[in-house]
Amino acid sequence: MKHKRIKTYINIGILLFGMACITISCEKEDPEVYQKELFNLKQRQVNFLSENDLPKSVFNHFKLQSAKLSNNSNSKSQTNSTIIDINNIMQVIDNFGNTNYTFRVNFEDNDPTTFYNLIINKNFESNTNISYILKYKIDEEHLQDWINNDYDFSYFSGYLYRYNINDFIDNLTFNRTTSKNSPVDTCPCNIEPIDGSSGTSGGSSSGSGSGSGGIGGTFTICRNEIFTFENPCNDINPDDQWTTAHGPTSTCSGSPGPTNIVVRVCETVSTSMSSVANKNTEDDCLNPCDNAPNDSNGDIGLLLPLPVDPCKTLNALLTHTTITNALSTLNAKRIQNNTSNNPNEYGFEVSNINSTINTNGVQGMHSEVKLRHGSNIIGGMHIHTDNGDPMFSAQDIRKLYFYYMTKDSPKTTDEVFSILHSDIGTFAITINNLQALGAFVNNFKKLERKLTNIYGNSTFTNDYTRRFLKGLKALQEDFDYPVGAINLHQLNSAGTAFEKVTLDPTNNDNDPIKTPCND
Amino acid sequence: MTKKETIMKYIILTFSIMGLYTCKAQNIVPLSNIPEDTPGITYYKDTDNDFNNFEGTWKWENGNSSLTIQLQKIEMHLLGKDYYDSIIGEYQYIADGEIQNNSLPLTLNSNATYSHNIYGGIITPKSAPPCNECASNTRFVKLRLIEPENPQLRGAITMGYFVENGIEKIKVRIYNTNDGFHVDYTGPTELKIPENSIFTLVKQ
Repeated sequence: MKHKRIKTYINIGILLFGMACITISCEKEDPEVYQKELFNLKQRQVNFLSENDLPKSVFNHFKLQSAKLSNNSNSKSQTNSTIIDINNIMQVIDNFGNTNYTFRVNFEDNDPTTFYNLIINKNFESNTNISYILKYKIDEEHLQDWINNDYDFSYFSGYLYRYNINDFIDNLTFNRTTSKNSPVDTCPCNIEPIDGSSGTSGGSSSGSGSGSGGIGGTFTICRNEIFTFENPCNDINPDDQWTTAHGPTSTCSGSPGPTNIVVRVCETVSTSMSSVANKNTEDDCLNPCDNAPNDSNGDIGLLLPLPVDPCKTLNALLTHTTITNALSTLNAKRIQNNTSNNPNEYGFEVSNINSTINTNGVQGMHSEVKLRHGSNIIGGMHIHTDNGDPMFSAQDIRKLYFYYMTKDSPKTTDEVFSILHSDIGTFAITINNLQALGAFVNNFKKLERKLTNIYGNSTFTNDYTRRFLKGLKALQEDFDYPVGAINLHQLNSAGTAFEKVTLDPTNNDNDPIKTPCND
Repeated sequence: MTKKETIMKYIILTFSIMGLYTCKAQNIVPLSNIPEDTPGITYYKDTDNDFNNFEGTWKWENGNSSLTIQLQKIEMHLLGKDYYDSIIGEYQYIADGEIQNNSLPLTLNSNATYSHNIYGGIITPKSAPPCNECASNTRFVKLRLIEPENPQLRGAITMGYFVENGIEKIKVRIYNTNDGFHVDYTGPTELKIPENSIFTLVKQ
């Protein structure tokens, strides 16, 4: 019996050995290819660099190219309408060693459907640098979904344009466009359709890129995602868990409860090869495709547009006399109300028609003013009388949501607002996270009850800011959202700028603190 | 100890721990004096029974016009993670002999407390009706009021309770709280009960 079993094992061993020999002998038929692949296939790297981290040749090339885009590059490289972010450069080294550097280029063109990247390609074989501009244009009907889903590229549907950098900028030499807000030459060298929903593949890369002047190939996209860890410090080996998610330099802070960790997630999007776009023979381009870079290779990093700080948008509104006049009117109405036996609310609808800000005054009643939403309305301004509370109501918060949801496309969350003028100051609310705000609105009765409870029993008339923020925080915790739904801003005493108001995390009483908007 | 006894022991222990956890988790807060911080699961309770005075059927009459309101207190209903004491109600409004609104009678829908046309329970002096008859320490109650045929139309009702010549009465103020509609909306925009009306209703 024992001998029989040993015999069986020997037979299986011989069989496996034989199969291994056959496999090895087959692979040796083309040893050069095998070794070359082993030599060339490296793990793709994605790094984020600042200007000083760039290799010298790339740095010099960037300086040369950015000179075409700007006159200086201190902390930012900028012209009146162009800003190149040099503190967050994306370096992608693909499996074959091809390296592409991506720079975020911002144009203040008021077009939320487009964003731009400057690409510098360092060719692995020729060791030369090639640069060009990629313009991403999302279809208007997909913009909202894309933003709502945290710029997930699987929701991107639109076109990718590639431009020769010399023909891209509307400068003194290449003044080919009539609009100063649109610096893009009308003649892209390539146009590539993108359908993110069908082109996303998680993490892998072909590494081939386009070698024929097209812009097809693979794109590496990174974004921040928030993950909640129930209790990273109470596990058997908490440091491992924490380090894995939070980076090698972080240590377990001893957090007793759930912890939200921002994790950078990268994914690869593949697009098909494109052909050179047909140049319109009737346009005025000096044949931009003649100078088009056509031999760049490798995976390309993609830097998404930075979200616009709504505080900045609010302050931009203050440059419009229609807004400052409306604020003055609201103040006059409030003073008038304080001496009236029957005070009524008052407000303005604010619309944006082709970058012109218009206001429409609306007389309200005892505890309401009917400000409409939809079409080109981007927000509202109103007063609360002594009948109500001197801070935003649940309905005001819901209205902010309606302003965004019902505005005509294109639209972004940073452009909608609600301004309240009351006895304790002038405040504004803007959207911080649309999903969280949606949860508030979908649970409106709870939102209403919570805020009214908080206000209703207040004996601290100057403390409504804190009550409002605490109410929002409590609701956010109720709805299990790691981020706040809305931002609170307050106009400074000089009436010249809005500041962001938050609860001070370093203070046990969580007193509200004001932070000026970043320029 | 037998196996059965051991199992029973664990069951009792489990329920005891669950009971303790439940007691500890619920933070009871008086609706008349809500603190700034209400951590954890909170029960907003009508600890002073302010809501009890308003229960019942109330009526205002003036010629061919009348307003009838039925109110009922409900205790400890769930809203989100918290519990609340609230008042729910329905109403009928007749103007010059014509029925404008009628959602009577009040039938408690315990599964959808907030589906009633009157609901809420805020104790606040804000927007209180002028009430010389009310005691100086009267605590006013504010409720949400919905137009039954057009639920997109919303208002509020604030109420003060008093007794006059042995008759129970409530003084109420009813007003619109609509915040505007879509630019394409063409329907009614105000409650049928006139804006900012003051009524004195008598208990039936």
